[in-house]
Amino acid sequence: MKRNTTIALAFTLGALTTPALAHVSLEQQEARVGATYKAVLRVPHGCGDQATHTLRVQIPEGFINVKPMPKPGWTLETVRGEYESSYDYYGSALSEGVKEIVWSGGNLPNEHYDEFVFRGTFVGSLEPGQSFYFPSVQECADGEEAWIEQTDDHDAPKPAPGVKLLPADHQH
Amino acid sequence: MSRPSVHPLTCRLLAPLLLVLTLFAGAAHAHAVLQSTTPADGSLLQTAPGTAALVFNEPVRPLAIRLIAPDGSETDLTDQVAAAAALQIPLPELERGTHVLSWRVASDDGHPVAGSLIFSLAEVTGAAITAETRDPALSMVIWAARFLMAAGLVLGVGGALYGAISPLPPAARRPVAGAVLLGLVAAPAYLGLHGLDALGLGFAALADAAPWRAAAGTAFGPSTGLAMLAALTALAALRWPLLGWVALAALAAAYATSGHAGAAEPRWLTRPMVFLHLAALCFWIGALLPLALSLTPSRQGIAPPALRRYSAVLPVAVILLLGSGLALAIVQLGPDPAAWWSPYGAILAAKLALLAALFMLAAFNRWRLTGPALGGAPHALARLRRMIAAELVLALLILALAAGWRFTPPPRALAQITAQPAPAAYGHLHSTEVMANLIITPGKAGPALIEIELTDSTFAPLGAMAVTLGLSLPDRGIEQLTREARLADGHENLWIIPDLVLPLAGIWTLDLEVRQSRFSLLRLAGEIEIK
Repeated sequence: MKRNTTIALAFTLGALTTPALAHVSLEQQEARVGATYKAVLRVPHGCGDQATHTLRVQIPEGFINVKPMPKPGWTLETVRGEYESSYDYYGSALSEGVKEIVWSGGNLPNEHYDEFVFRGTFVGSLEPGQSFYFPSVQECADGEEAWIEQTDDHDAPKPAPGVKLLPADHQH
Repeated sequence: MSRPSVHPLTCRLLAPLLLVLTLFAGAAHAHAVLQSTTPADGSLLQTAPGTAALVFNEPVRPLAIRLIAPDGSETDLTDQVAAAAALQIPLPELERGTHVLSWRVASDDGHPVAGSLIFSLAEVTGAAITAETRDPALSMVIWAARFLMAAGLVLGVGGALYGAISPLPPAARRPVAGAVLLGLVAAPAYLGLHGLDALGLGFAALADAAPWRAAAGTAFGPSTGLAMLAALTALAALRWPLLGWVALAALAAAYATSGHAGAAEPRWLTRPMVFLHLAALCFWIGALLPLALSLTPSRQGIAPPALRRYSAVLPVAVILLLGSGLALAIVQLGPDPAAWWSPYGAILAAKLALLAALFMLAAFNRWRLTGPALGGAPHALARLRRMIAAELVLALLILALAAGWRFTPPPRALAQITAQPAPAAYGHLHSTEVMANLIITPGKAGPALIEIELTDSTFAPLGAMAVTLGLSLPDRGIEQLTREARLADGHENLWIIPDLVLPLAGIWTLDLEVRQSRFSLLRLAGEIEIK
């Protein structure tokens, strides 16, 4: 029992110093409303022990002018559609854009780690203080891992990667 | 052992706390994923395995590994399992029936992951046999609480009723109030103990809400409320005597709405019979104490009128008591004489023997002693008092026997258990957009069919991509069992889980995941009671 306890403390200290990353998550966990945001989506493993061949990311309403970064070895596609409302983007109106990003045909083995990057702008009408989620689905040979539950609950088994929205920087 | 060390238990309690703090400190969270188990979840084995294995995608450390046997008994295996990616769990000798292996592990950053694995040896049972696992000490305390509650309430409310009919002798006020208070304390205590028994918990769990909530959800919840109302009314009746009738009605109603007898069919017959039985009992037994105390030689002026009135009405109460008791016994024993020789029948026989003695005593008092006592003969008065005291002792013995019925289902109910399938259990979960109706058939421990109907908030059928149900029994430390539902053929919103075994009765926590589309998932929480 004592050995168990020692291991528990060791594990705990380990957790404090080197965060392990088994959830799909965003590198930058905070973003300003009305500002550009570079999303780096970290994918630490496959589905169970299977390799990931496709990653789908939903772009919810409020994140506009989205541009994904191409990735060698992966086919990049986007699904475009109408926004629910029209947004002002540096003086011009944006009413349509990327709704979903798909990196497919790749190979990310369970043993490896990779990052997927896209950028865009949070519209000024979003409410600061809330989390903004990018539901993401890893697809593998026989199944998927769906990181789509929109929750801040740390115990949720597969939370959607999210970013905390901060108030707009007005001095900018 | 030579150097001072922190108590291991303290460490075990502190470690998870530190882990929780770590999680809230904002570190990213890893979690281990269970990849396979041996035996497989839900499997039916013909030979007993010596070990079980849980295979994770990364090394994990066991926090709690417990095996729950078909009889509901638990074995803690945590210390016998070493940290590894594939946990090897040595199993004790297994009985026939369904076992649950409940596990909680921490992955390398300490994030706890938990689940349960169900497997059956030779036959699928579900550990519904709680009677055999009942702690004898708990049984004694339950019996004592039930007896004290009955004795306190019958003597107290009966005493208050005496006051409504005839002035309560001043010397009787204090004992009557004492009896009422005894009932007032014993009634809720019994409720909590009933909850412990229902959930199979130890005394320490009385501090938790779970046993109280479980018991309050049964027929004993409202019944205890009525009994306490009766007790409070009886206290008030010491000041306003006519309230004694209200207290009597409340107490009789309390017993009519709970227990084996009030639950027997046909209820239109059994419930009024229990009501009459209790009312007559209160009238008779409750009057004994005030009556005896009114027969003090110094109070001869008061005693005879009270005694006269009482002895005139008593035969009516006795006829009601006997008649209702007979009707209930016939219903409870059922038509099969072979089944009468159950523990229930034995208690009934003993009760009848005591009752016969009580009647003889009462008849002797009524026809041989009451006359001379009414005439005011001091010897007769003193003798009558002693005999009434003997009546009281016999009556308390009968109440003590009746409290034992708490543990012996009547033959009628035993016959039903084998003859009828248990009714289904129902659960309703909802969020602002989605509602789920859950039906578990049968609603008791063992193999069950689970049906989940999804609708939107206007009750219109709601489609979904996938539905996953998690069930856990926190009161018994059973971690979440997770099952994928499949869409029932020909339905758009009815999902079924056909082959789940619910290993234990209790209030199960439900965690329903509804995958509405590729990118949207909704989680509904709730509870369902498995009997």
